[in-house]
Amino acid sequence: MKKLFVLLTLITPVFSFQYRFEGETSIEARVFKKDRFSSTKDHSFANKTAIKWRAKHENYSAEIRGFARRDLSQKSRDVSILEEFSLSYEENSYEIKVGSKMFNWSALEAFHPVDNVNSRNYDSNVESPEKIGQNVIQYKKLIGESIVWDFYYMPDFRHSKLTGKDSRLGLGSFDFNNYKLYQGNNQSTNSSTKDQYGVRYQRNFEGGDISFHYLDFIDKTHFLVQANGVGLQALFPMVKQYGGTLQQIFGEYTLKVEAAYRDYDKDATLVANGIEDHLQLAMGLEKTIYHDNSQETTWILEAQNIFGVDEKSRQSLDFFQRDILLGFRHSFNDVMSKELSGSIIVDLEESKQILVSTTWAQRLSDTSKFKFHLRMIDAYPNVKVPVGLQHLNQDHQVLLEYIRFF
Amino acid sequence: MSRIINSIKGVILFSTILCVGHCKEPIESDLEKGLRISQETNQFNDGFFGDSSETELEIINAHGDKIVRKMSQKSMEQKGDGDRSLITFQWPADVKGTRMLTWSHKKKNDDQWLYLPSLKRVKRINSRNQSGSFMGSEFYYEDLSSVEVEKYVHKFVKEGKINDRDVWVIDRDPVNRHSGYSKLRVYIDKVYMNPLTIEYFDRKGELLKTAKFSKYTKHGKYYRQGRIEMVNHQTGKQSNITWSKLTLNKKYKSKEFTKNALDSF
Repeated sequence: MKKLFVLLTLITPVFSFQYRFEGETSIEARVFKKDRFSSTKDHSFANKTAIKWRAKHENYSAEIRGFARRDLSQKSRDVSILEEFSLSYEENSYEIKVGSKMFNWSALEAFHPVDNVNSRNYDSNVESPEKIGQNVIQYKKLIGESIVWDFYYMPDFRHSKLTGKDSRLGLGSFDFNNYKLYQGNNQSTNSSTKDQYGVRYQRNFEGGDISFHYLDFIDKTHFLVQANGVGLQALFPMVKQYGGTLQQIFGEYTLKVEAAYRDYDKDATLVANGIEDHLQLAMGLEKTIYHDNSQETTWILEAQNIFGVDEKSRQSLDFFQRDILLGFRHSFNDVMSKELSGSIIVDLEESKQILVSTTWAQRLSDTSKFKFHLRMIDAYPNVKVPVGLQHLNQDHQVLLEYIRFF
Repeated sequence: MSRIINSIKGVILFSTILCVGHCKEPIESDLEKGLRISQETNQFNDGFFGDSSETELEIINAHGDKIVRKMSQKSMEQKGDGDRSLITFQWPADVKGTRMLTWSHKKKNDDQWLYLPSLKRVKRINSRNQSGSFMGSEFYYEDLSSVEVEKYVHKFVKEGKINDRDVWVIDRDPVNRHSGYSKLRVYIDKVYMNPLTIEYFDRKGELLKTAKFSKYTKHGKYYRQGRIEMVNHQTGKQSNITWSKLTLNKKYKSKEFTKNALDSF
């Protein structure tokens, strides 16, 4: 990291770039309700530092963005992740970007069927795991003011980082020690190169935004888990994904839709592990109420379902396979920017599966912020092998976070 | 004697001509005059192409606690429609890099997007309810939207003076029923062709806020305020906006005001 800073400091004046640098460092203290496994850590104390550097020189721009976490009590959570490391060239109607990129195509607040281009660090936050940059060559074509076409070529495979055996977000006493690309017919490879392609169309119109995409890429969200003698290995399959998003204003409401249809190669091993062709659809409504005292409350109602597979497969495909969320975010709009948010996610298939979370956030000064987060998960596993959210049953946690911006 | 009679005839004839000439002109109603003045001031302020500035928003609560938010802002005129603007938040540090893009429209609701840099996400904002507080301040979103004649019914009230400056006093009733106001009383400086004071009346018709515009500077033919002090009479809170580094006649490319540009440098 030091070398990176030195490099940035050196090249900035040489090329007379306009540049911006910002970052934050935070201290996270997390305590889980005690569980029955001695191998898992029920608390953690970590420091996370994130930086973002952007520069522009005439038609060229560059971006570097990443973070590192050091956990004093849980070594397996130590991580350094590069989210973005890219160079761009732009003309009036097109742009070319080469490098590592962090995508975000999501339209909804909680459920994100289409936000799956990047690999993830699953030992972070179950609702929105941290992203790992994806190497890409991107050609962007602007048509008028409202239409954008993006073409992607992704040359390599970066696997998602799965949880260690001491993680309360993991699979109990198992550890992942190998990550491979699944090639079908029980064949896999350690190769990190694989040609992947994508195209995305975006358009905004009066009161709405719509997008469609096609991806032929490695699925880093749905993977096979196999024992390899010394632990577990994760095998990531190729998938063709057809999807889209919609954000549309209807009076006081904003309607949001995300959908992704995933088409896997016909393979008995994938099917046996519940990885089958399916449609993941999420829809949501959002409404903001402005109060007379300048405070505002945003109400969110979202639902997600997975179609085309049976209940067992559905549960293994996503933590939230047939779920509904009711949430709110109340902004006090005061000088300390106090904000209270909360949500409840209920499984409509397994009615006893409930995830409740609430967060209080406020600024302490112009450069520091404080967050208090409470989460309760009751997933009532009644099977020998837990699936989906059942892995996190009783993983209640309290998280305190102090963030200092620089 | 005949000379006197001829003089009287002359006066009567002249008066008649004057009267006929005057009576041919229709009498301008207060609504027509209000609309005319608003159109003239709007036309006077048109043609600046684009502008950019640094902005400081000071939010003061009823106890006198204060917080300062800093933004950079640029906007671009659109032919036949409202202006487009892009605000980039610079301070406090936790909102640094957040951007808000607004496509104002003359009659329809504005199109509005928010860019959240931590997530690299562009979120569409519902702009139908105009009375939302901007960044926790006493400014509503509609206070900061571009002033379009079509958004109000204009009524001339009177001419007057504020701080020895000649003003037109115009009442503006918002057309949009989702506005936070029932009426704005606007005191327009006849030279600046811009407001010196605006009094905002809530939906019940009671005085809610007063905005005082000051520190006008001349840029070519245009005058632009350097500061607005907004006092909420019902809560005792106050918010002030101060502009600096204001530049007009900037020629932007339209792609700089698109959703795609929110994630650019």
